[in-house]
Amino acid sequence: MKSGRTIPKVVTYVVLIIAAFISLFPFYFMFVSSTNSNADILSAAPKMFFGSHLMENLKNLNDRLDLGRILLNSCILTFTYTLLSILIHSMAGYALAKFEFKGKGLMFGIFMITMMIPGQVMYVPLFTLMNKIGWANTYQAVILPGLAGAFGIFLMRQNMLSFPLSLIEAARIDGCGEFSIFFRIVMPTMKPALGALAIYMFMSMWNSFMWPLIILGTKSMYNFPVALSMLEGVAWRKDYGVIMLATVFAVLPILIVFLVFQKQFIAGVMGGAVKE
Amino acid sequence: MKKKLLSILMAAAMTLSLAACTGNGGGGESSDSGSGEGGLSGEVTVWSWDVALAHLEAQAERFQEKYPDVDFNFEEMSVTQVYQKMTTCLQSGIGLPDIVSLEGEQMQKFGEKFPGQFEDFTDMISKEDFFPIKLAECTSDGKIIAYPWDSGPCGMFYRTDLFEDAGIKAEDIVTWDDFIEAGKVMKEKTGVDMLCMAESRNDQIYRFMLMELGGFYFDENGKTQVNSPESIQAMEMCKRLYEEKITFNNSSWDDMMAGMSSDKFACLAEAVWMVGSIKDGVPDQEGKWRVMPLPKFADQEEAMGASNGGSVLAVPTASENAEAAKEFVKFCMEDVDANVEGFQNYGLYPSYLPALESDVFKEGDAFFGNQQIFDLFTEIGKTVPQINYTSNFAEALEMSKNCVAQIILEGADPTEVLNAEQKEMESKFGQ
Amino acid sequence: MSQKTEDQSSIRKKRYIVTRKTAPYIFLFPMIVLFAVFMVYPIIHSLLLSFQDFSEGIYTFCGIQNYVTLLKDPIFWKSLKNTFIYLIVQVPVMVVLSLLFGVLVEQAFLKFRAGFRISIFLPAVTALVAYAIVFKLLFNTDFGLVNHMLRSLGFEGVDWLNTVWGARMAIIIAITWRWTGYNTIIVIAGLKSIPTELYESAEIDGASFWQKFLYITVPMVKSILLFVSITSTIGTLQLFDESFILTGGGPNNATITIGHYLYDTGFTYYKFGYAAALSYALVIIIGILSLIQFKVTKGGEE
Repeated sequence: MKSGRTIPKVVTYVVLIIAAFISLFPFYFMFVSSTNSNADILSAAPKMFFGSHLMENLKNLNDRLDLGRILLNSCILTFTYTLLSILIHSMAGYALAKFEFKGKGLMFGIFMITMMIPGQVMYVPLFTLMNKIGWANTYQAVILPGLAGAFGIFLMRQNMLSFPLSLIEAARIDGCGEFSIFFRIVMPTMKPALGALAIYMFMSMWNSFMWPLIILGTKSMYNFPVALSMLEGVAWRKDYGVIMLATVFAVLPILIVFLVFQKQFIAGVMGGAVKE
Repeated sequence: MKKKLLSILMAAAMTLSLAACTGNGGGGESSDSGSGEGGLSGEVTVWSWDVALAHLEAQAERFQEKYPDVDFNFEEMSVTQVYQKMTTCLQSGIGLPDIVSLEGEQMQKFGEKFPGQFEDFTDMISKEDFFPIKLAECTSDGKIIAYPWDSGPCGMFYRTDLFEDAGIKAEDIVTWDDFIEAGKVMKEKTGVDMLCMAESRNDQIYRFMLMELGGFYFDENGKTQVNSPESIQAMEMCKRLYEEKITFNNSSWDDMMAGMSSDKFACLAEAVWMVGSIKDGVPDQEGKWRVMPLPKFADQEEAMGASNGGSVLAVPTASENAEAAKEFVKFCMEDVDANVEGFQNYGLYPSYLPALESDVFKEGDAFFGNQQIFDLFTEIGKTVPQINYTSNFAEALEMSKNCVAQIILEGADPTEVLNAEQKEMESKFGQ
Repeated sequence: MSQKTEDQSSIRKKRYIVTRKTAPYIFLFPMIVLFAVFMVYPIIHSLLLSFQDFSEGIYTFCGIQNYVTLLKDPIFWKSLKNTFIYLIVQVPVMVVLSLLFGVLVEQAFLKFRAGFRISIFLPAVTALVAYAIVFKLLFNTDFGLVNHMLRSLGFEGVDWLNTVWGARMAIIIAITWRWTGYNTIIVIAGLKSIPTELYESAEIDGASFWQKFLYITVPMVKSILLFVSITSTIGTLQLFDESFILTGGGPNNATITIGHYLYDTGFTYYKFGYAAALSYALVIIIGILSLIQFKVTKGGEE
């Protein structure tokens, strides 16, 4: 009878190991390919083991990209973006979830609708605007339009809806100001939602491509995706060994951040809401 | 021979001067040697890709010897990056470079969609010195708005070793019918497919055949003519190639390179720039490749040439240093040594005829069993008709690819599909 | 319920500039500024574009011509159909998989839990190039690993990228690979918030795994699943990368998505007005779908 109550351990392990293998395989291939030559990668039976072209690929890559600079750009963009999003979007989400005011429904509705508008169509007006205010080729030009997106608000509002109003009221009666209620009482209990928001924002900025490409004019400002796409050059001269090595550099920081902070990270996304 | 020696010396000198200057960030010391050459100055920003950019960078050093007051700023991008940025920049008129390299086939689109946004080279260029097809690419509204650069005359690359195994002789293949017969023998004796043809993703073979017959998607006035007799004839030949089961299907460039390295096909119809890719992609096949002209159609006396790819250089009118930019473009494009260097160092096959007369292009290539392949391509290049790509080429190309997929993969009737395509294009392009 | 508490609170002392009345506006202020400048302005601009025609360097007003053309454009309908095929097949599969993986990873006896979580999550951070190359190689007809496995299991190989359904399946598999892990993490967050007492008491009553799953787990994470399916729907409707890189939209437009066609129209064909019209058509479609999903699931939520 016992077997009916839980999933058999073997099944769980087998399913998860297969899932993990499938998930990790392209990463393995990426690492392996970064040590192989272009011909090895494009042969009918691509090399599945580490090769000897790492140094050669590294040299070629180094000749073409300033990796340190790109890493710095990517970090500045991503961290600023994520931090600002956590602040601005949770404030807005809080207002929409826990206050009654004129135009609230309309405002939320408008935010939601804009989530559905594909970014491509806004690039030209945004580009013109950024040039007019002299922000072309700056970090803020990359960061701010993304923050105007409503996803973060939606996420935070949904999570804050379940925050007990009685706690807020109690704090008000104790004479707490609105800001300190928000920062001292609401925000600390929102860790899981903030974690989810942070992951989402981090990933989307780290991988963002089209808009940075359009608004960033010089090589010294490029983030990883834009620099990577530059390596693709022309179809008939792609060197996949070099591209894969560059990709490894682009993914490694995320991997490291993830591995080092995974405990806090996952606890952040999943930690019991009000329980803490 | 003398010329070659000279160009090697030139190249060596260039490399040295390049090495000497790298520290200066392109600032260039104003040597007095060039001060008498008149007052070109300012900073010129160049957008280009890969080797094309590398070549322009090398030429800039030479240019600065003559015009020390001109500074350069090179931005490397991929082809798609250039287009994505040009799209936003042209619409807003801001952030444009002083010089940009574009694919020749797309130039008319830029010219027609953004009239007056590119500098006019009509009075500057020596028209008779370039392949006619390249000039056609650069012409919009009667004006030459870009300089032709590298060109893409097409030939049939083939594997002599596989031909020998199958007992086929290249000289016997004159028409497409001959080609199909030889292909059957090839398939039977060696099991290798005769031709690499992207059935579902590309209309290349059809387009080449269409050009051989002197046709194109559009006539000289830009009117759609995809259901012309030539077009139907070409499409039917493509269908036959497929139905005889002698083609290797590739869904991408990478597939094709992988197929090449594992001996999946014996022939490849492609432009001259493929030479470099074959050498890079399958170095161990040295000596096994040759080139012949594309087969012609049985009822033809002489086939026209086909062309694929190749770039041009344009100068947006928004440039503040248009004078210097134009002068630099001319300097690079209308100079025998510059073109020869571009070819020798970066494999850029020029469209400037005086350069193509140089000895380098007359020599045999060891990889191709010392065949004089570049001379062959020059002859083909001269026979490519002046095609009107119009501003709709990109969209027509996509639609044409889909027609090929319908006809070949789904077995649809060429005449019907092309008639339907004609209608759709007419309604979309308004002509 | 919220009405009541509001009445009570109106008694509180007004000592702060930031009062209960002004607070929501102050909290919203930065967002509103950003939103007005970097969202509303470009949206209005592009909405106006959708009523204009771009040719010879100038925009001319053309009424609803772009929208009329759109209704007659076979490629638009084809891309719409493809997008819906992805949506109908892929979103449910992914939601179910996310739930499955989420539940499995949260099994109490599991060792290396963190390792599994990370492995499953990682595809979401892959760089696009690596992902594209790997999938192209995997799905290669002649020497791809997928066909190799199919053949060794006694099946026939599939011409993945060159047949209509093969290419569509390839895209569906690719998106599922890329996004399931991300959604799994979100689902896990939901699972974690279910009080363990619920399971404990169910176990005392002798509930089986499936009973617990159906009567406790699923209802408790319903809102999370809704969230996952809405974001996945929006993501799928705006799908671009996979179609652009993996199949190029082919063969014969069998895999092109609205997002891809929109990109081609604007950035390759330079029909800017038409591209704007396409994107507003997309907005309307996404809006309707999200509304339906929201309404359908809301009944159970409150």
